[in-house]
Amino acid sequence: MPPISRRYPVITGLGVISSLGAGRERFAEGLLTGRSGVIARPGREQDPLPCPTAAPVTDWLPSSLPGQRKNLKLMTRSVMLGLGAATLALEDAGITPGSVAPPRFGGYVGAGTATGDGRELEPALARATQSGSFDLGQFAQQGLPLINPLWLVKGLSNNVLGFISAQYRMMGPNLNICCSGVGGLLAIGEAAQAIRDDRADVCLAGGHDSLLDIPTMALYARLGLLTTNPDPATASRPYHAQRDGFVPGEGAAFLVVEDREHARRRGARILAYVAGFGSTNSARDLATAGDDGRGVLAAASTALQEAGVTPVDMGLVVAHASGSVSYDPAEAEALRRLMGPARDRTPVTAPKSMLGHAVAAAGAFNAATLLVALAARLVPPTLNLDEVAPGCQLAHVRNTPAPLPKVHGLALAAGLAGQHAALYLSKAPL
Amino acid sequence: MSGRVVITGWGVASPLGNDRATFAHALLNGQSAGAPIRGFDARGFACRIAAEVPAYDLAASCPGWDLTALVGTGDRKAELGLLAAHQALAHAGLLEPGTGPDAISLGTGLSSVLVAEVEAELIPFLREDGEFDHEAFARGALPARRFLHRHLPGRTTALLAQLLGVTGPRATSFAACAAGAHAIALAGRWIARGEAERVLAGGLDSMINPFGLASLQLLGTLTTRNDRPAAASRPFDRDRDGFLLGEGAAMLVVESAASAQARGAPILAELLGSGSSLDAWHVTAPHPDGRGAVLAMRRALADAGRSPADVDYVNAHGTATPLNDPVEITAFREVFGPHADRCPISSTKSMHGHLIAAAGALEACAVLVALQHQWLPPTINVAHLDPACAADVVPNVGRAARLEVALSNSFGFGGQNGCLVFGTGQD
Repeated sequence: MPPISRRYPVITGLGVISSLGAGRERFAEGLLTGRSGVIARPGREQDPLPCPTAAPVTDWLPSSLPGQRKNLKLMTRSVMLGLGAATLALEDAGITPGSVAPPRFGGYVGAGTATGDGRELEPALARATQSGSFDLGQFAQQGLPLINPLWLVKGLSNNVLGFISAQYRMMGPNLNICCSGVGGLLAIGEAAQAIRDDRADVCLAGGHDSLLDIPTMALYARLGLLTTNPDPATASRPYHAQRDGFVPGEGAAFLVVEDREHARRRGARILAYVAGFGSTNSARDLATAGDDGRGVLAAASTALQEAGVTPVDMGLVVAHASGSVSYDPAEAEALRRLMGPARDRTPVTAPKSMLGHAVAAAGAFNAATLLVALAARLVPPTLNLDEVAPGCQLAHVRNTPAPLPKVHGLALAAGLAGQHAALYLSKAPL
Repeated sequence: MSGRVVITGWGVASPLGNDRATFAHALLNGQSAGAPIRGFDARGFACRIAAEVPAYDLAASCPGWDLTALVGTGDRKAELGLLAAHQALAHAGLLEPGTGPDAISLGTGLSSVLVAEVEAELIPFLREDGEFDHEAFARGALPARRFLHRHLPGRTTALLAQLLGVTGPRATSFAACAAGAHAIALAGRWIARGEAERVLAGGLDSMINPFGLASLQLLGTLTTRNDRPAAASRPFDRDRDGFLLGEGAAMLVVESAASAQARGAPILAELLGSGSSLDAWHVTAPHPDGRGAVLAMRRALADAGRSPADVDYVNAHGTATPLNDPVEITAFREVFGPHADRCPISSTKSMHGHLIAAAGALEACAVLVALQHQWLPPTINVAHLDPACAADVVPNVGRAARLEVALSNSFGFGGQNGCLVFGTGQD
């Protein structure tokens, strides 16, 4: 009988564009030196948004996207960031256009909103409002010629897949998932399943988002989810006693998820093994971020069970921890319950203390953070945690990185209306 | 798929009717839903016709559901989604507390901009010189909940998940016109992997509003046969000139056979397999040889463990755009080989129009109707079959046929494709 070969999804590439910089090296260096990407928000003095800080991508230009110059006018900021990180991930994995058999090359993307750019409608709206009130007939006849004919195309949420697939000849199984804060991690989980099910040999998987336009920041501000702390040095402080919300961010992180044998055959370096995944829902109101902790507990338990790791053996946890007044302690309590007797020694880190919250990219950022930790055998610190809030006690890694004795760990994501996902990665096959 | 995945309920809010019986009757008898747009004054537009969902009473149609979250949102997509979901869950016997689905997977489309929103929330910030005052806009008091209900793609999924107490996986797929098919395929995967037992899966969309219509008119994809709305959607016909814009929602209860058998739920059909692919070509145009469509069909058949010769009917994507139809027939012939001459392929978009993100879900329901009634739904308005679309497109009138396995195609902008294979569920 031939040997039984079990397909195993592994990570062979990582691309990140975040407020810490572009490229996985800048990301790792930023995380491990505790360098914050949070700054005083440009524009805070021109507009009245109650949002004094932000975590923007500042050292990367969309014009650096290879082969996409003509397409830039069809891309939102989020899509540009996504394409940038996707390209970096594929380069990191040593994949070039055509080097993976196109039908076996899939793409799984967690994306943000699906809306055309409202600013591009403005000239047409102005033309249709000359009489003082909005005239739909005038809009249709005189306004429409003023709008880019491809306005709809620019608003498509699946554009990262559209552009990267054409560039890299990616024709395999795919999904474009819009699930607020959980999309990026769900995408990675589904990509790993496509590898396991033998539907693809290589999948690009991750998430992208940008919160730094006025309507989006206004939305989150009005939901009461943003911090109003004006000091960039302390604004993003998950688990802190004085936390009051998150710092809006942007960026993208993509992983290359590949079958182990395929990676070995082409001599690719294996960054980690995808050992387990879980996703759950706790049926909360649309405007509610997080829940009482039951969602993350169930998702993490599923991921651990699939990985065959008992909770007391977890190496580290990259928490969702956004600085939410209500959800930070709920997540912490769920983690304490999950860890049981290991609660005082299992290191926990909150990368949003440096990256802010980039919603659809956030879960992918956490997966990327876990990869950095496993590679360096160091747990990146949580910044600004000089006073842990009651209810948020965990084995926090503060200010400087801590040694990581184990080679596996958990990355978490939470989204609006009580959605959760958990991913377990390991340096060695489990 | 490893474990058997079956369908135990479905429901529609569609241009052909807002209940299963009306939809099925219209579909099997070749009725068109094309009509002048009633929802708003479209006189200034080049396209002034559409396939709109008939009037409905949401509260009366969804007894027992708390709909306060939708009040004042003008969220037509969510309303259509809830209408179809309630029907599907009632059909499957899953409306009693504690018996609902444990997972939800929906496909959705672009967020709507409403005229009321433009008038109330954008126009006041246009300065006299025609420039938009972003600073004043930021200061304005756009209520967050209304904004969420219009712009978060996953809003209806979240609302239904809350109404139903869903505790398992939840996902919202955006794959342009393939979203509904992708969402149903994902539901099937969750069940096959044991991650869920009963999934509410489907799609919802409505772009029959001024800005939705405008965005499609700008792309030049819509029919402008305004004088003959019932004859406007002409898939495979020589004189087709674009798609008839539809709207609506379709929901299926996708369930593990074990769960259905354990609770004694009638099995209406079986989801035999699914496949997705990317064209890797262009954001709006299909690949000229339909290479993505070929891959999606082949993958779905392989997933179902069936060969092309096993397929008795194909429900085409069949938009009636000049580009799509011949490419799809080319791909169909590539996959089906000699069997292509024996296998009927019809486009029910000729009747219900193009539901965009909900198209794949409504057309899955069209396949369920065909399997149930053992009747091929026609492609209506085929006066002169385009030689580039040569196939048995079931022109103009439906007919009885022995149907065991049927396939449904969905192809989207961005080059995302999805294909579903259904069987009768009777062994």
